[in-house]
Amino acid sequence: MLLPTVVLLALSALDGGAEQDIANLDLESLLDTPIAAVSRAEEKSSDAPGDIFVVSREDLERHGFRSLDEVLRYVPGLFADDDRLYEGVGIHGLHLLGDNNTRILVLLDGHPLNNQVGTGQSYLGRDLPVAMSALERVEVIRGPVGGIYGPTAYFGVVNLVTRGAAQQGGEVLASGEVAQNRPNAGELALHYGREVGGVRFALHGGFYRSRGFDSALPITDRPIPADGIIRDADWRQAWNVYGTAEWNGLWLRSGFSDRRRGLPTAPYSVIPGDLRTDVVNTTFFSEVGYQRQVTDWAHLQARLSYDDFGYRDDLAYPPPPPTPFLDLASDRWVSGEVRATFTPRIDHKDVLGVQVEQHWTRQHSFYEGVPSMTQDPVNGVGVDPIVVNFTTVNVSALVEQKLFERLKLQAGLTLFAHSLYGARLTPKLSVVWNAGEHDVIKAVYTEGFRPPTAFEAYFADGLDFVPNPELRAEGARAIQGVWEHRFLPQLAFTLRGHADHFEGLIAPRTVPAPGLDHEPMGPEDYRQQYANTAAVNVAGGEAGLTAAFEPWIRGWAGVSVQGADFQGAPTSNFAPWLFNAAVSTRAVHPSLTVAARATYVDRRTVDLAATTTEPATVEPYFWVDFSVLWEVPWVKGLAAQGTLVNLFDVVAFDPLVADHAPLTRLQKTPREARLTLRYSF
Amino acid sequence: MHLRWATVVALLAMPALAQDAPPSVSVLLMLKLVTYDQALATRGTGDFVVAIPYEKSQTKALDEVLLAAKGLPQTRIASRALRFVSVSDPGDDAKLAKALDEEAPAALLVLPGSSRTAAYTRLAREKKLYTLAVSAADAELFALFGVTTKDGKPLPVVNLAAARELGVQLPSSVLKISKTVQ
Repeated sequence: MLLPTVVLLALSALDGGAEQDIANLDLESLLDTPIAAVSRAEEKSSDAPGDIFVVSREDLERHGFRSLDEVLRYVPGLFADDDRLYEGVGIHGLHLLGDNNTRILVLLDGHPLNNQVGTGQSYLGRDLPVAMSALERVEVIRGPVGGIYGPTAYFGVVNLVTRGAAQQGGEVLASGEVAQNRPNAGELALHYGREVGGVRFALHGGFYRSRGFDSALPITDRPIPADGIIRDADWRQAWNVYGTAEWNGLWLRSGFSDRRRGLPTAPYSVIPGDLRTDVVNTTFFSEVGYQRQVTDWAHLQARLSYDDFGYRDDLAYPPPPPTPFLDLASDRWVSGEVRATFTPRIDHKDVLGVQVEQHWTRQHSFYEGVPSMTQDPVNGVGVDPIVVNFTTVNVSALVEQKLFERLKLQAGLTLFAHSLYGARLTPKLSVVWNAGEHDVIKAVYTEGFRPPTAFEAYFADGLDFVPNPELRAEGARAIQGVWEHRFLPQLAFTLRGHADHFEGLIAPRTVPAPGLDHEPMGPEDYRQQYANTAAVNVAGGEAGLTAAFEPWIRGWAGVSVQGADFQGAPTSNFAPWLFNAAVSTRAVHPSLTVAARATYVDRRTVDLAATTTEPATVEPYFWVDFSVLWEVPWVKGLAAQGTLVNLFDVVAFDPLVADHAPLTRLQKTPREARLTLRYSF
Repeated sequence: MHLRWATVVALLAMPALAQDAPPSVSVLLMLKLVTYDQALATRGTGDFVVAIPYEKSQTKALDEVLLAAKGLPQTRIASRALRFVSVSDPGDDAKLAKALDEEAPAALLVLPGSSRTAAYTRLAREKKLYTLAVSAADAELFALFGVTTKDGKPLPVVNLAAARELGVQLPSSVLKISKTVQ
């Protein structure tokens, strides 16, 4: 313990005015890292009143990240899991299994992607309508920020900023993966940006195909192959297109993604390994917006968008009938937003915003050609379409005042009104204190509010799920503190603390089937239903280091610990300890970047609702990826990157939600070798 | 009511205003650019004084820049003590030159909306002073450095003609990341 202290003190002493000399500042960092996610206006990360972490394009390229969940699993305080339906991410130790990522808001260039039907979505994996190679940076806000963004920002926000037309020219990326001793996946991505006659435009496109992994799964309630291996059912395919055009304050953005995959875990009691079982997500949005610095103290921004989310799964059950059972869901919504920012004085800012959304959702579970239970109560299967339409209005005001040059106070109030779940006021208070040349201290208080999704409250399929129209909105209160100390311009230490209180978290529970005329005898007598659980209190802290000693070492590391008091809420998948790190070096050779990243995720309990003879917990694991990037010296713009994902081929598991019963856990992917070629022109 | 809407429409229809970086960003960045001048070491010793000439109409802009300068955590530039001084411009070239001589500046920081840019250009050329413009538009016209914004990030503006006149030599790595003006 003494040695690190001595080293830190020595670094502080060495600092000796070095940072006070402008000549010693890093030009790149002066030009970099504006933050748009916290106050919805770009500002320096150290000034932003929130608990944030930024992954820059430089780090995205050095580590060769190929999907968003792959990036997020190495961000301090986060962990990633995957149930082979959707990728999930936990913040502050929490990721409620099967929540379809309805508590983390994902923004693409400021456009909110999350739908409100709430069935089958992630936006953290291949259903994201943009390829990783299109991103300029990833901004992560940990903790509730519903006071700024509205209900979906319940656990946090991930804001993706694309390169847009900032990088003139193009890039082609091709990638291939090998796993389980055979070719496993391939990816192609394109980017092109240009300015023509004052119009800046950019176009990105990507295609991905994977055959997935063969897995030995202990499914005991249905016939499976004799050797217990489910083969070829883990396939994935996705493609996306995203385009932007900007001219004189006017912008147009549009994106589309189609992602489909097989379901190797045979959820919802389908036939294991049946290749007719799959799930398809489509996401489309188009947004037109306009921003203008109206006067030197007033900025106006307005946008209008249309989003269309579609979900379809085909679930193969033993006949009759011979065709798969279908679940369809959609959310189509129109969104309009106007935001005005006033800076009457250099030390004062006001932000006023109004956002209105109209949603049309539809859910339908049925067999084609077979009457529903409503049409034929005796022999019918499935249900009639469930249509839920609603309007939301979000009115927010944010006031920011600087005091004594070093103190920034921010107060915000958001009124969120939902036509089905009433209105709620959520405040936000924050203080940012530049305590000295090397120290920044932040304190933030926020509240959050999340109404049930249409899926949670109204979904019924006549088989497994029953609706719960009595569901009420969840509430959250959070206090966060951040202390950042910069020993050198290239080395910063961060200490964070948080205390979160969640009320009425919505989670699935197992209930006796409605209308049952006897005591439940077996699985067929139970149904799943979403319900409000009791309050959950989470408190924790994190220590982190960020360094950029070029070319020697660049990267970050963080250790976080959190404890939770679950008062009747499901405890599954809570991770008390986390370690996340990502480092790279160019010291070996100027054309070589060697990078490694690691994450440790503590022991987590499995979903108790699906308890079987399987263990009640999944063991902790330590996961390492390693990559080497070679910028080919004799071909300008060409780079090759080799990556080993899960370098040590550790056998690790994620807990599964009860949808996958009798499975309670699933092995994470084995070691993968990936080769990527990138050509910029 | 109609007049109010007409005003809003008229304001929206106006051409976009130039997006200058705030002084707290631009002043620091321009001084950082100064440190890349390969001739900096030959341009004197002692305090590195940044003179800010101002006219009566520019007192608000002066206050903002001084506030930003005061808020800089850095107190040195290339091992020289950094000082900012405001100099009231009497409107007469000779008197201004005399006032500047008393401060022995190394750089002139030009406030936006100045009517005396020609005089500042002449003085800077005579005394070999770095000219730093708070408004990026001034850098495109006469000053050595300015800072505009692009995609929400600061973008340095380097006036190559001014650099030649002042004998400032910048590495290509700096010019590559800057908007250069011929």
